[in-house]
Amino acid sequence: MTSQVILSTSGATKRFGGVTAVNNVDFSINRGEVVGILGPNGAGKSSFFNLLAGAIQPDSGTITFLDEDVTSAQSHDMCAKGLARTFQIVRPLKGLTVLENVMVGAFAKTRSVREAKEIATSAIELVGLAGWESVVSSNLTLGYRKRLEVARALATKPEILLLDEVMSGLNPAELDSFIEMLRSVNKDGVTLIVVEHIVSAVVQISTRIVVIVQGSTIANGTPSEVVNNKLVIDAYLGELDYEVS
Amino acid sequence: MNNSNNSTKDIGNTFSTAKKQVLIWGTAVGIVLILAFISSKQSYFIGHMIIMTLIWAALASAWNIVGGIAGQLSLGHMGFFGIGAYTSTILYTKSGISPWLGLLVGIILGGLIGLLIGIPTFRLEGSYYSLATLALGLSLYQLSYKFSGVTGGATGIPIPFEASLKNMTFSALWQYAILAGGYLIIVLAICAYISATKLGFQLAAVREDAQAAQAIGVNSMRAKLIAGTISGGLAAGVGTIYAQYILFIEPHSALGVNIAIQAVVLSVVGGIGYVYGPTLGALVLIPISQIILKNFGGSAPSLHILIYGAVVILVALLAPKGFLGIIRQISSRISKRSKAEKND
Repeated sequence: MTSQVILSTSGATKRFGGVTAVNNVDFSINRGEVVGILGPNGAGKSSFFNLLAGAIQPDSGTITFLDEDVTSAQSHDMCAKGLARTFQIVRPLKGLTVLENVMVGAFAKTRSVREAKEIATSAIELVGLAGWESVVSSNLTLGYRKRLEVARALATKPEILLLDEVMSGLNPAELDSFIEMLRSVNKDGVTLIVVEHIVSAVVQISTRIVVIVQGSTIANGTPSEVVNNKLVIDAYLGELDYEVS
Repeated sequence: MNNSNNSTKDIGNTFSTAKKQVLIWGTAVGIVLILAFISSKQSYFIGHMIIMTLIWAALASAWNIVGGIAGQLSLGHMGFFGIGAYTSTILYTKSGISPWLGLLVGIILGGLIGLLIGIPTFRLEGSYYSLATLALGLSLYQLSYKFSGVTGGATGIPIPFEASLKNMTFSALWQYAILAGGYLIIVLAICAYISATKLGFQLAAVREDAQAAQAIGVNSMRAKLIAGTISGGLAAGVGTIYAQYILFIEPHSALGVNIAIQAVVLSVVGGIGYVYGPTLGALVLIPISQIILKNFGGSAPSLHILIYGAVVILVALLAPKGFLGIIRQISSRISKRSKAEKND
């Protein structure tokens, strides 16, 4: 795939009262990339993420998606254009079954119930939830709820998928298969942005990593560049021995 | 826990086939015809009870579209009911316009008000919609006293008894049973259609978590507005039918807050959010309240309200999904058991 910019921000800024959560961020991601966004707690990762997803709108700066200005687009508009997201705290539609949850996502691109069911079924298979279709989602374990979030987002047939701490809280076995699943999603042509606390997971899956501290990007490069960056170590990683596998 | 290795695609049967549809609606028409037949043969009391049950079932089902399926608690459906009752009655008694046309005008007006009240309030999460609808209903109640030149104020409007199809006025109870039952079937068919299509899935998503629904492409504002419009319009239609049956309307019976409460209670008791929940609620509660009213109306005039309250508390505590929720639970348990036996 050609390296073509799919989503970018220019000077994106968001303030909440006196706090500047996102400060003048220039960011861009090419089609097919997997970009990890790292940063300590309260760094503005989630705010930046919400800006991209259209859940909140920037005070200044612009956001461009597929060569279109989407600065003031709402989240359901962004979804229709091909950007899907998951939530940091999983939000299954509790009273609905797994299949129904994912079908709601599928309806973003179709009116037909039958087609929505087909799209949903294949998304459910892709994330490894096959066999759980008729289970009410409030009965799922955390790991499975996270998979459900991804399936629901995938069913909207996104060009780009934003994952907000989708791997935190998983046990090591779950984590490995989750990373495997995300790789196959990416291989299917979906560009990924991964906001994450788990440095090792981000390093494993990302082709590029951006580090945000106090609302600004302080590093942007390949995983090994970023992990060895002096600024990043000081601000975030601390004086630990990080080995890049 | 559910058996994850059970890979049989048994999910398909939750979606009705065309044959099943014909069966369901054929049965519904059959039931209404039987009820109409009963009301022509039995005492006036039984006939009246049947018609009131059908009318309340239709109102509660209309409420259920916005209150149950979309999860937006309206406390002001007496407003829509009253809009329908007063619109057709005023048009008929003042200008001689057929109540059938009045029914349509009322439905359009009710839908329009349902849309307008949703525009400012659906933007906000929480109880704003509930309060705004309650305010709408209560102010219409007050307005009906203020504009007594049009509404007849506290004395109300009597509707002349000139029995004919064109006047939507009938001399036999079974004819009203068919009118109210037919309208109920239309309301239920609309509910069933909504539930089975994209809009129904989107409304269920909005009910569970509006923000999460937005993120997967649901325009929750639009979905809620559609639900509010349809619900308001259909509730207004019930008002017209009620007025033509009783042949007299006044503020309390057409715009009283008890109407909205009744709609909520029937839905909650029968099974809120389910297509047939409110109808089931009406089938159980309306006959009970009518029988109590008949037997103890003189000696204990508010006894039926007391018993209503007790039933609501019991249902809320023991079966939060209503009677239909219990039935579903039992039937799914039975089908699971039979499936497990088959697998052994």
